[in-house]
Amino acid sequence: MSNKVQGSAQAKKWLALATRALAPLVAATALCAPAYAQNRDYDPWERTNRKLFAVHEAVDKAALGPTAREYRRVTPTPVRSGVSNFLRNLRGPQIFANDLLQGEFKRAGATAARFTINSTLGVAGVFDPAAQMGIERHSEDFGQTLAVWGVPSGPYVFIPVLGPTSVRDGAGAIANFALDPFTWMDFRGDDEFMVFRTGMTALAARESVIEAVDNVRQSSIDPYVTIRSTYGLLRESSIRNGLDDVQDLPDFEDIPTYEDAPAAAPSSDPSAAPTEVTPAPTPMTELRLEPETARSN
Amino acid sequence: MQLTRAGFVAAFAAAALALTAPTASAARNQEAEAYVNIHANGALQALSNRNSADARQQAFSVLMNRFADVPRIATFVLGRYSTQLRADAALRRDWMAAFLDYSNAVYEDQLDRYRGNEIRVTGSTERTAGSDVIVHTEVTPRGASRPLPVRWRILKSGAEWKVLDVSLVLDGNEIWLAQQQQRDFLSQLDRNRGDIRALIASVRQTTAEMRQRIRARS
Repeated sequence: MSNKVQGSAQAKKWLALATRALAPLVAATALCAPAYAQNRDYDPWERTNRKLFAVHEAVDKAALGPTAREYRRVTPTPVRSGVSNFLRNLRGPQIFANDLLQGEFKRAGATAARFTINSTLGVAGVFDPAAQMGIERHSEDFGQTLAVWGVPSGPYVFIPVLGPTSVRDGAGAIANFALDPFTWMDFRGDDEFMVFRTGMTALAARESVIEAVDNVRQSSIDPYVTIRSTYGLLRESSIRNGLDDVQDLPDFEDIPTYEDAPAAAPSSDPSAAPTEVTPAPTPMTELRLEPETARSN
Repeated sequence: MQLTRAGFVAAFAAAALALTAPTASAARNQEAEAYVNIHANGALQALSNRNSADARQQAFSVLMNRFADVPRIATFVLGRYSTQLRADAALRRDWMAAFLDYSNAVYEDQLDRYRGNEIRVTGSTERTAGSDVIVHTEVTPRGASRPLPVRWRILKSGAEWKVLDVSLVLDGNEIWLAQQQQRDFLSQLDRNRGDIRALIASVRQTTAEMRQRIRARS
């Protein structure tokens, strides 16, 4: 056996050991999270996370973002689309395993059908004929599986270059690696293939969010918080498997106001009889607002 | 263990047989769909107007103010801190004005990517029959190969429909923008002990920076 093959086998052993060792730690940390962490962005390590986010921003502005823009500039849309389809198709077996682990047999069937159709008719996944047949793609990972099994997300974590995650989802990413059959396959050039795949996945992912990242940097009052809240809401949606049940949407209160009523300040004349005023509330939606530019004109 | 591609394909093909037909759709509301169709496309058309940046900004602001229930949204995004607005009319007016300008700048900036394209209504779901409806649409951003699903939550108050929230569906996962904005603002308010005046200052500063960029782009 060559040194390279021995090294690869060694790495896989370490991965298996790490997965086994980390699983109880992750479960314990996540379970220690307070109950409200389930519905809000739970970020007890915010100070450290913000420092890591600053490192990420520096690396992204200097290297990741420009590389993604260059990738977009030199490749036509159909090529990028083919690359993304190919990379996504490679995740098919892993998504299938997580569908099954979550007891989502119908979705597992869709994943299997998509993988079969796109790997054959779609030329190794470069094209997506399954979507044209009405079998839409979805994503699953082991972090979502843990969530379905009742494991709380645990603290929010920001990892430079990799981006936002949580203790649960970070551990899930390690398990995903273990669930991916390509991790365990031995073939000529397997290590190079995995490096290429990881690099291209990162590049395609960054390219797909060029506008979104620009928008956050330009329009958010705190980009760190916006990325955290966006990650949290999209994760909640992915765990629910897609579109919200419309009955679960929040109510938007219309606060009654009393601004047309006389001020309730105490009278300067102590002899004046107190007047009881019970103004009719004005719903806020009846207030007419004009933009500042309109007012100034 | 040695795994082969043929083995995976066979296993997946067998599991694919479990695939069943999609479920039936819920009740639609044609009036709400027509409202979104007219006003959402009107807003995109206003952005396509090649007038001066100021004229375009004003036209877009008037449309958005008519289309969206800004007071309700501005109240919602403050979460539990919105109770301060009940007691302080000046604070309420300042917050509403700052939030309106901020929203207009954000949407004018971000919708620029959809300028010249059409928003296509694909259906709707009634949350409350006749008054609270989610309208399903899709629009293709410039340079994208697939349309982006967008859902609009609209509420009928009296005889008037107004937009409460908009969601984007990214790879099958949905994010409602007012809910996301609420988390952002609550985070800042939690850190500054609920000081809405400080939030107004941050919002105004960000709005001014966005306006500069929009003008430079025009």
